[in-house]
Amino acid sequence: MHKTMNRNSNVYTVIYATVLTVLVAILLSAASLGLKDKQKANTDNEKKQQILQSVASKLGKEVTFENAADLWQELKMDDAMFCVNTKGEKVDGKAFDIASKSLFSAGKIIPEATLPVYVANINGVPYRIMSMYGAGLWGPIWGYLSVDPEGKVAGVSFDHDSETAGLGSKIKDDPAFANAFIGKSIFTDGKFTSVSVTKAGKPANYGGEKVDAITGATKTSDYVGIMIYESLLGYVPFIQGGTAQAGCCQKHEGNCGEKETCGMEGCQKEACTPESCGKEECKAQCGDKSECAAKAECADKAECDACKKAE
Amino acid sequence: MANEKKPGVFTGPLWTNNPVVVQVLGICSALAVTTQMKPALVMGISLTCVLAFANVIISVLRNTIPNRIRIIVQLVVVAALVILVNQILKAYVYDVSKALSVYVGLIITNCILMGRLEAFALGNKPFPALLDGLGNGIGYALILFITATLRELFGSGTLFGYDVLARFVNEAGYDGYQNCGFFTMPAAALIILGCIIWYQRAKNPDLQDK
Repeated sequence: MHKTMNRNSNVYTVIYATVLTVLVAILLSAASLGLKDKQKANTDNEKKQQILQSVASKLGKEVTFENAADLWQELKMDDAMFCVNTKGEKVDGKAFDIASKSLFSAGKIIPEATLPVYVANINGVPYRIMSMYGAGLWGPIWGYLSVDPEGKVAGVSFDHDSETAGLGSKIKDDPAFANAFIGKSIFTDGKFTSVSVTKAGKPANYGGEKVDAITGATKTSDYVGIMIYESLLGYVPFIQGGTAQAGCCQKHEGNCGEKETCGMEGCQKEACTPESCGKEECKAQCGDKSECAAKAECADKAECDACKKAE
Repeated sequence: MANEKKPGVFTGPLWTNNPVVVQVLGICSALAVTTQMKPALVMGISLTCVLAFANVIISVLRNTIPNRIRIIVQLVVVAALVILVNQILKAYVYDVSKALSVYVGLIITNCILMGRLEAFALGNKPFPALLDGLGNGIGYALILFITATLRELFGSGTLFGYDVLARFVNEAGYDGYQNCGFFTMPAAALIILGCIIWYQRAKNPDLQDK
């Protein structure tokens, strides 16, 4: 049939192009729809793996793509995630569905962003896991960083889109690099100083603790340092709040009032009643006007009123 | 081209008519994905699959494709195949798809594909086209693999991620292997490719420019 048709006519060309395009579109849409669930399950699982990887050293075992879902269940992570704003207050939102990319604008965290927090309770200690995102040398880099109740790094996991294989890719592939972060404090004298990544022998550029850059991947290492600083900046009020609360819990030997464990969420709202924590913590809580009004149990009325007026 | 014998169609591209070192096609990806062996190998396999399928499809359609938009038709077929492969990898072998990341997408821009579709598939029956696709894909994979082996061995001291040189050097009584950073640079790939071409020309006087 094709022999009889003029293959160079405009009509034939247009019809051919249209039919081909429609066929390909149908084929690809079908493939995309049919495989969507499986792909989503894979990316979700990978996200769980990366989140849990940041507390792998506390779990005492390797987190792999295969065991991530089981570990996630085991740690009851589905109930242990929530959102905070950049003031450190808990807000509504689905933590797991937040794309870390959407929290940033031009490398800085958006002030009104809703930040995801995951809390892994391992051996009774709550580790707060925070999400990081930033620019790498060739493409985006991202990761998760967990801090213990004292504000020290409990672990990190990094991933990247297109850093140089064998060099920049070591942020993900070389466990020695990630392990170097463990135990570093992100606060110096109560001030946020992040964990810098600089060449061996060079001082930390944010003034706090540092880890050595990867040899041959200085640029990627620099960007990792920037990513940690910029990403955690938005979490600082939350971490500091939680750290103060955790300190309060420790003072009272884990007695968090009605709550049985010193979970981060529990401590924030219920544990720090004036009775259990003393006036100082109460004052910290009364700093926020709305919080103050809601806190009927805030025993020291005078103090509350004072801070209300100050607002 | 149409007169080529079937064995030549498959074996030619493997060495004497290799797409990379003789036709000098697909150089960009030969430089980009050969720092380590695993991505190089998977890239070679992916390209071979896509090229074989695209060759067959274009060959089947060759008598219907309007001449004026033939390049676009080829591009659509290749792009559709690549997207399909990518989607399937993402759903069923997620780790491999991660390892490949952007490389799968880069297959679309590989000159070998358009070169073979234009030069061979448009003028030949599906079966020779399949052989031609396989031959060229494997020829490409071969060069990639050789380059990646040398680059990973000297650049990172490993093979497929396993420490080889460091262990060897340690056993010989020296302390560790200092990675040769130069081999991880694209320039090293170019030099290795040059050496392969040099060797090949020396062995095959037919290929030498008179």
